[in-house]
Amino acid sequence: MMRSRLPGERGGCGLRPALPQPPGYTPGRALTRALTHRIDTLILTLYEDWHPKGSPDFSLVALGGYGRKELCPASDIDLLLLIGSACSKTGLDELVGTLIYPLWDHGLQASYSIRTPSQARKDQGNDFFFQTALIDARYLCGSPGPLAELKRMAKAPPSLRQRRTFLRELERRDTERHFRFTDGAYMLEPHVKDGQGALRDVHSIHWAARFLLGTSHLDELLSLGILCALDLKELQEANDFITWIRFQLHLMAGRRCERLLIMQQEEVAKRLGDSGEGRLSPQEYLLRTYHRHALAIKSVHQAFFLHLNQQIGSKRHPALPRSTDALTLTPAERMLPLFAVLATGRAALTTPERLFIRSHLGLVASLGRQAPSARTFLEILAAPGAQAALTAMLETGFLERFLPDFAHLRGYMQTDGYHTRTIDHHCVGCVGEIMALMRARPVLAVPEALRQPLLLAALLHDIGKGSGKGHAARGAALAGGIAGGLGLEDEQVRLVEFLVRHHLVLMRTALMLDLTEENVAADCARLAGDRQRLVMLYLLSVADARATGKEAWNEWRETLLDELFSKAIHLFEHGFLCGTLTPGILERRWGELLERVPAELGETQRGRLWTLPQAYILATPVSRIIGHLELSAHLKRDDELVYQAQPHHARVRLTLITRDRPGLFALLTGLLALNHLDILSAKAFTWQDNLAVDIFDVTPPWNDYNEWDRLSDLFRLSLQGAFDIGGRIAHLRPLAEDGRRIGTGSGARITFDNATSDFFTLIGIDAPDRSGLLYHAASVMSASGLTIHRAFATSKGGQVTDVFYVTDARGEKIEDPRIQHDLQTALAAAL
Amino acid sequence: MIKIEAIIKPFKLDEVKDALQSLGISGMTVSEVRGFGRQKGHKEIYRGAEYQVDFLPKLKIELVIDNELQDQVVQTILRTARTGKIGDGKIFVIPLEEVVRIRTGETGNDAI
Repeated sequence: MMRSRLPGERGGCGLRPALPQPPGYTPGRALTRALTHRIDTLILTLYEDWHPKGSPDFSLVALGGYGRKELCPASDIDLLLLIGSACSKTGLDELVGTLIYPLWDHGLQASYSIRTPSQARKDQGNDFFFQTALIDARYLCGSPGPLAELKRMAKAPPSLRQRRTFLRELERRDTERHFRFTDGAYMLEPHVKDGQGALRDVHSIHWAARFLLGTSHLDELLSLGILCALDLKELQEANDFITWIRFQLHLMAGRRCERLLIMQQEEVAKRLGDSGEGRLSPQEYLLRTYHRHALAIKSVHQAFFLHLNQQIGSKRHPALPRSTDALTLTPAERMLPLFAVLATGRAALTTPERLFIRSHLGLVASLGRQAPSARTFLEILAAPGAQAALTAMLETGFLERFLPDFAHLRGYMQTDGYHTRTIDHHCVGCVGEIMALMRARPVLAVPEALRQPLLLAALLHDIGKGSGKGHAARGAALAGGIAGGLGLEDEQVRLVEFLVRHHLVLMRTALMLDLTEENVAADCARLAGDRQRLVMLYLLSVADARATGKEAWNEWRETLLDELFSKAIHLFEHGFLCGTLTPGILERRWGELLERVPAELGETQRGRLWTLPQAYILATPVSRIIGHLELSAHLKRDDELVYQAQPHHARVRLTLITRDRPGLFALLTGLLALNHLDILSAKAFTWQDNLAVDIFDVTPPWNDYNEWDRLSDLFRLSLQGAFDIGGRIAHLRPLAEDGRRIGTGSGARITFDNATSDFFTLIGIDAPDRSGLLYHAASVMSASGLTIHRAFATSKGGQVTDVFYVTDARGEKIEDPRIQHDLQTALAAAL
Repeated sequence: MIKIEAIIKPFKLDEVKDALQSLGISGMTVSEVRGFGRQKGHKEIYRGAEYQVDFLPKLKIELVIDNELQDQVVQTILRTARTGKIGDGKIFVIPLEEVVRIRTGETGNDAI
């Protein structure tokens, strides 16, 4: 048989027709109708050229997508040869040879089946796929008789049982399909046929409407009061757009290709044309448009099947109570109470309610920020079923009209491989996650008064996205404006801004910084300012990650985030931030430092500001911190000790700064003892750039004592090994009898505390005062391989109280009871 | 050819990766792993019920290199992943029989 070429066809594998493709976007179904028409013409030409003997006893029927006139270039062409009883075997062979084989010669993916009307009727009951294909049956050529016979057989409307079976099967297939094609990868590279909100969902709506409701066109759903004009308009536009993409994909690949892969997005975006929105790249614009349309399909699909279930399904939803406010409230005012019912967790919107809202969307703007509607909205946000209510607001199109700043997030997909939902759904999901977390972990529950700002922040945390980097800061300003507009008090508005601005901090810190460093947890705690705000930041971080997808939240990340959170919150509960006034003091000091340091100090010291541990700042007045920063600038060499000695009443405040090194505290206290400088109190810290800052209040051995330089000289000699402090101390004698013991003695009480800090073991020493006591204690610790990170000591009434913050050489706390016992014995012997 | 597997602390990844890249290492595989060695876990009380974290989160870096680079790579990881505290991780050096680049079928050093 001669191969007849399709007009304009270039040949090659499959059908690659050089269809007249207008530049830019054309509604997809116009393209598929044109292509279907060309295939119809080919088949009719083949049929007319055939001239069979006698009158034909068959109907050639187009099924499925071909029946619906939705052919894309590489779509299957499904045909049914419906034959009558007079059709012979020879006649059948001739029929197939004449009408079907030439289609294959043209490279078309044609498939066919041969059935009598009664076989077809039987298979319709047994094969769901065939049943749906037959819904779209379209007569092509031959005789209309056999098809008419099949239709006659199926004329009786399906029974309730048949309709329920059909609905159940259709829903099962849809659910399975959605589950398979709805993870993050498919959001980034959507499956245009089988994904949620893709073309198959439109087919499902169409099949259900035809089979279950007996409609011949979707427009009839309008008069049945199931969908509204806006639903139909959006559904058709979405169908056209996604069909257009599918058409392009088939053309570009030269074969069937149903997934909008990243490598194809650039070309498809180019064909789509300019977005006219400067801030979105062509690819982002393509994906956002895709997802907006997919969301429209998804929303209509869900609403339609909910309605079908309410009408004929076995899982009926309870009807909602009728509003009694219908007479007193305007249509716009009646909308929010409908969502409020969902927020109490009772049911989904009924079809009439959904249609009411969809038909009055134009009025939402008139609600503006009226106090009663703002109040209802905030109550919905903090109610148990907030996520269901917000999802309904999103899918009906209410939310983007009520909060116009939210509109640009609709359908916005982040191309990072993490997000499994578009940002609008992610934000709503985040609200639901916080609710779930507070229910599951009552220890994290937030007081009622703070719930509205927290959940508003959750809803708005990504509102700054879509304009490049820095979305958190940009979002904070936008969210603050919205919160103010909704009538939240100033303090609550500031809380919303704070949460949005810092919603990434905990997760970033947990992943990027060393959680065994106290200052890492302390910085987060200080940022939060109090325990409650830290809990809220944590809830938002967890909810954000969980609502993002499984890539962003797993046991691995959870362990890191929880470690940071628990260490930070312990600082408020029993660490150095414990106490209601403490966070305020710390914040004020930081405020003053940020003001004074740049004004009063040079660049090196300004940079050093960020190395100061929070515990040091809390324990040191600002003017002294500035003094220490100034002093630190004089330190030039690693083996140098810089000091400042300031007379302070009858004593001298001696500040020593040097590079930290093992055994340093013992060395310094030893030098003081050897110089007969009696220590009344001591505070020792290590800055993060490894500078040790030790502050001693000492009583000099005589008035006008001025031999401070000796300290730095002896320090250098000690480091060089030219001065043996231990040996000298062993022979130390007092300058005059001062009533204190010099040798060792009993009476020291030594305690180990591992509960107060997550980072250090606190060794407490209460002992009668004696010369060199601090030196002896520190020496024992150093000799046992401990690192002293911080030390506080005071001497009062002949009794010394010391607390050393220590770890072992590996940076761990001293938790082994045997090691504690050995240390205790050694310390008791030395003191 | 050898394969290097290094278990490191999560926050050290960027530092290690940058240093390896500056050596000219062009590819590596990173996975989130959990395990325990000498470093002890901790208790979490904010998970609802008290929860003992035994397996600590670490990152595993895997890379395949020419034998000549072994010392350089090991030293680089050692230098950059080290904090001096417990739990800094380990480096495993494993001899490798063959490497094949799937796209081209190249083998041996050409495939690295």
